[in-house]
Amino acid sequence: MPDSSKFLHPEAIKRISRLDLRARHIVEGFLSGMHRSPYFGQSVEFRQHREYAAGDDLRHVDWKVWARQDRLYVKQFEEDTNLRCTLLVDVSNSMSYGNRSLNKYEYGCTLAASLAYLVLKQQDAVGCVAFDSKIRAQVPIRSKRNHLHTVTQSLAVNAPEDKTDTYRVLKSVAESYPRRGMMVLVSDLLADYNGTLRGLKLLRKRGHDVLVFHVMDDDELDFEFSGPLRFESLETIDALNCNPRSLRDGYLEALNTFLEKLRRDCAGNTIDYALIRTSQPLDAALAKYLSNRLGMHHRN
Amino acid sequence: MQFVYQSLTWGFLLALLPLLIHLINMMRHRRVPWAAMEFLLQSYQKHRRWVWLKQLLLLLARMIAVALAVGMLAQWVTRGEWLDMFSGTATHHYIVLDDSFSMSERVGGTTAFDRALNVLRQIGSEASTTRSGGKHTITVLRTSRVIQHSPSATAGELEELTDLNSELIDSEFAVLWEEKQAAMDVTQMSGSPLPALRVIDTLSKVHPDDRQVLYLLTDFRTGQWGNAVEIRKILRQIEQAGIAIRLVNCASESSRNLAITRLEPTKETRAAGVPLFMNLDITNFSAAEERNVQLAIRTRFYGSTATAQANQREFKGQLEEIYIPPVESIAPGQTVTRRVQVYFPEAGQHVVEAELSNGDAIATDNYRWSVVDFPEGESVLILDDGERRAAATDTTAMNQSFFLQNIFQPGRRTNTGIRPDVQTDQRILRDATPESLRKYSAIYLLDVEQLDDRSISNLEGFVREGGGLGIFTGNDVEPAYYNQRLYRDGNGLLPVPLLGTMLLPPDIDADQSDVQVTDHPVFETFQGDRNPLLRRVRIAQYLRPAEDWQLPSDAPLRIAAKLRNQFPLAIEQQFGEGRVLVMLTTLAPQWNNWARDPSFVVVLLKLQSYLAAPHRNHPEYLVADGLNVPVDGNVYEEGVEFLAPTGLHTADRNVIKKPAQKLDPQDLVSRATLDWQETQHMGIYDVLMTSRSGEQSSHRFAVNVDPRESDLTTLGQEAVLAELNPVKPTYVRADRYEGGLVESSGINRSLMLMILLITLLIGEQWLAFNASYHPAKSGTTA
Repeated sequence: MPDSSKFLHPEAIKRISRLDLRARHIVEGFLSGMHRSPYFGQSVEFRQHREYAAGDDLRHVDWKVWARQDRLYVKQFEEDTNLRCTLLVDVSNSMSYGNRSLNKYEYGCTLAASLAYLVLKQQDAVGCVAFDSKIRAQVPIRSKRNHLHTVTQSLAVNAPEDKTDTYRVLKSVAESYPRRGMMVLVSDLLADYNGTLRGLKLLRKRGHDVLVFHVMDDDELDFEFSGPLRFESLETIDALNCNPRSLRDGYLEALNTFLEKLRRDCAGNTIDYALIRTSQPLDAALAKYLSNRLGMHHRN
Repeated sequence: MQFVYQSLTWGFLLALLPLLIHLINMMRHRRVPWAAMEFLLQSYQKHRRWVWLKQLLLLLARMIAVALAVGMLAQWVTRGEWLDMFSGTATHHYIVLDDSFSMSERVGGTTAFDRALNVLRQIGSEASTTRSGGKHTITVLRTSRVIQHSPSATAGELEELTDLNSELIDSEFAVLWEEKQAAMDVTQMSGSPLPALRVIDTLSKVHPDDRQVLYLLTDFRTGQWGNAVEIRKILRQIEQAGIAIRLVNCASESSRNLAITRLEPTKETRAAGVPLFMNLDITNFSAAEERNVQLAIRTRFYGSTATAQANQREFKGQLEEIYIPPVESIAPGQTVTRRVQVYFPEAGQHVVEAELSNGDAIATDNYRWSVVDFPEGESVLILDDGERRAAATDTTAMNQSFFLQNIFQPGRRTNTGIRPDVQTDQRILRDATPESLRKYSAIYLLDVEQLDDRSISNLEGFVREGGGLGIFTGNDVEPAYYNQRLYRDGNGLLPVPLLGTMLLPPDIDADQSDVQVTDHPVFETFQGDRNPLLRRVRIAQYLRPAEDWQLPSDAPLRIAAKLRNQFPLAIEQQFGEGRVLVMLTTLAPQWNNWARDPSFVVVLLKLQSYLAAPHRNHPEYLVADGLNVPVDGNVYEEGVEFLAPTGLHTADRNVIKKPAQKLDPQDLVSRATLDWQETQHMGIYDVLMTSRSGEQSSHRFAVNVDPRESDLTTLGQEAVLAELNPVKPTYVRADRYEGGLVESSGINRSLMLMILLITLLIGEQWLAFNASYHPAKSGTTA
């Protein structure tokens, strides 16, 4: 069994511990927290009036309005809730690529563990789904402190071994998590693009706040190969003998087209998207992203 | 398609190398597990054809580049075959074939001349099969054929010197050439190919519009090509006339050669019955030391009956072998001299032969002959009129000639070879004719008081023609008269103006000899350690040169011996062809006691040898030199027979009788000599003449090879080309020649191939850059 603690890098944790992960959209938690809730609760912050309906609590009737207009209205207040964050981590074979200290799988798992730590630290709840062509491991959403270990353990046991079917997984997740929360997808997205996009859209449709961490290796982004090479697909039986330098331009063109389309589609569907290189220090990449996101949150 | 270096065409197989490397690289693909296969496949699908095309072009470019490089090195030549087909241009091949004896250099069973013939055969073969160049003709000229040609000879006359003249090269040429070649061999001549090139320059003007190629098949010896100004000039002229020049070096790269470079008598008195030393030089022309060099010396004595046997086929003389120890060692480039004593009891033209027994590259120069003319004796005229004058004046005088006569003719048992003719009357000189004086090898004036003008004139004429004159002074010599008539301000026979008689005080310490010798041949015997032999000689009185006289630096004067007080004792002067030596003291023991000292005998015999040396004619004839045979048309019949050697490389003469040459009596009367040019072989030549009275006489000549030709040092390709610069010939070595010279008489495409190669390499780099085969730049692309 791989050591689950390897995904928790103390240095990285230390650097990002001052940040917090806030939902940009309304999420449905089970506790009172710092995220906006779709429910009206007991809060000091007034939100709206609504006509009285039978069964409403008389304590919420705004008597001042009744006095002025002779109509019964009840006052509704904002309710804050806690965040229910689900980490969707791609553990397919394609994630095993990487020649540096961390391959994509390790980098993604570390990223997910760091996020889990962050969420748990701010008293929110976190769950985890590891998947490839199907869900390999699923950890329910909890906010207990010791839940972090469960999350990292679920990532560690799932060695990448199969191809990715993102749509199937995301659809399953959408059905499994009816309450609105935060969905964080950590993947290289080297799967059926349309399926992936449909899955993401489905999550958004269900009201989830969706974050995509697109983990890519430098080799994949820069394609700095030379000499005669035989490329063998990690997920299919495809193989190609070529001089990589002759195909580099075409490769980068196809890749950049894909990335641009992905960015555009994510933006169009209010999905947060971040491309992260495995060569980037994890803490720096995460801190930069979360800072930006926090800024956006405040602006909202 | 023809190449100068056909063997290099195997290099075209190297053009497959890029393909092989490509295939090997394809098998050596490094495996990379890859995730983003989709994008790679997209790129591949999109660029597959273009990538393949670029790879194919790159591969082709590299293969062609290799082929071009090989073609360039092999020197591809083209001849505009299509142009030839329509224009019908003819091609003339002029071949200069060096057949001097250095071409007989034999290494590994093949001579340089064999290699030259082989190249010539190949040229003929190539020309007969080539499709280009139209009609091919060949002219072959051996260098030996034109050594003596007249510069004013017409093209028609020169054509007769060729072995083949504008002979059509067709399918039957090989047969024709085999016949011609069978009669060709290396000659014993020497010399450069310059005369032959001049002939070709003349002959080539006959076909100015046709394509012409000159092939020079020679061995490029340093002696001939080291400073080839004239050759360069004529080749430049030929090149500027549009004639392509091909140089074929037929010499081997290393060979060893020893040669006898000199065999001549020493400058001693030469007479029948007097032993004579011969000087023999052996030179090592090899790069390595030669050890234990075996020599054979033979003499051929032609007795008085030899001429009578002249009509017989055998005319060899009486052979005698002389033992000479082998030379232990001769260093590279060194010449070793050996002295051999020969003896002939009778007068006549006798022969000394030398032979080197060690086998080396060239056998021709291992033989040398010398004909030594031994007279009955050397006549000398001694003029001593002292006693006669004394008798006339009723006084007494010492008989000076007595001492000289005793030395020259000491007795019956001792033969010095010198025959003194003592005369006491000056009329012998006054009434003499040049012919009457010519029989004397030297004349001695012993304390002669005066000479009349006619006598002086006759004496001057005698010395100028090569006679020797010895002047001994004494009491009767009048300095003023001698200065005026014999010195004549340096233009006369006397080498030094005289001041007067001086006394040499005796040396009290007797540390120094009164006579101090120099390295002059007359006195050199007493140089160094032998000088004490002269110690007992006392000079009491001498004639001192004029006070203002100094030894001129530019005149042919030499002080042979000095006195203790540094005044000259003996001075020698070159006068015309002859020599004059004046002794500034008496011959008789009047002013000195020398005549009573044994050293005096040696000095006077040496003096006679020295003075008579120019008179001893020893002409050196080299192969192809004409012989100058003295003929008196008034005496001899019109028929003159020549006995000439024909054999090669053999010490035993194989003599044949040449047909008698018919001479025009009128011509003979007017000419004192008869020229005989047919001396192509080394050895002994005899000219037999019959006088009108039926008496036969002979003249004997030794003809030897030129020792300069024995030096086999050759110039390499670079040195030859540098020497001929700016002439740009094609240079090949005969031992590596594999054909191509005929085709290379077209345009050498090497330069064009080089330009193409450079262009292609630039294109290849561009293509490789485009095909992304160049190393990636630093930095990344996101």
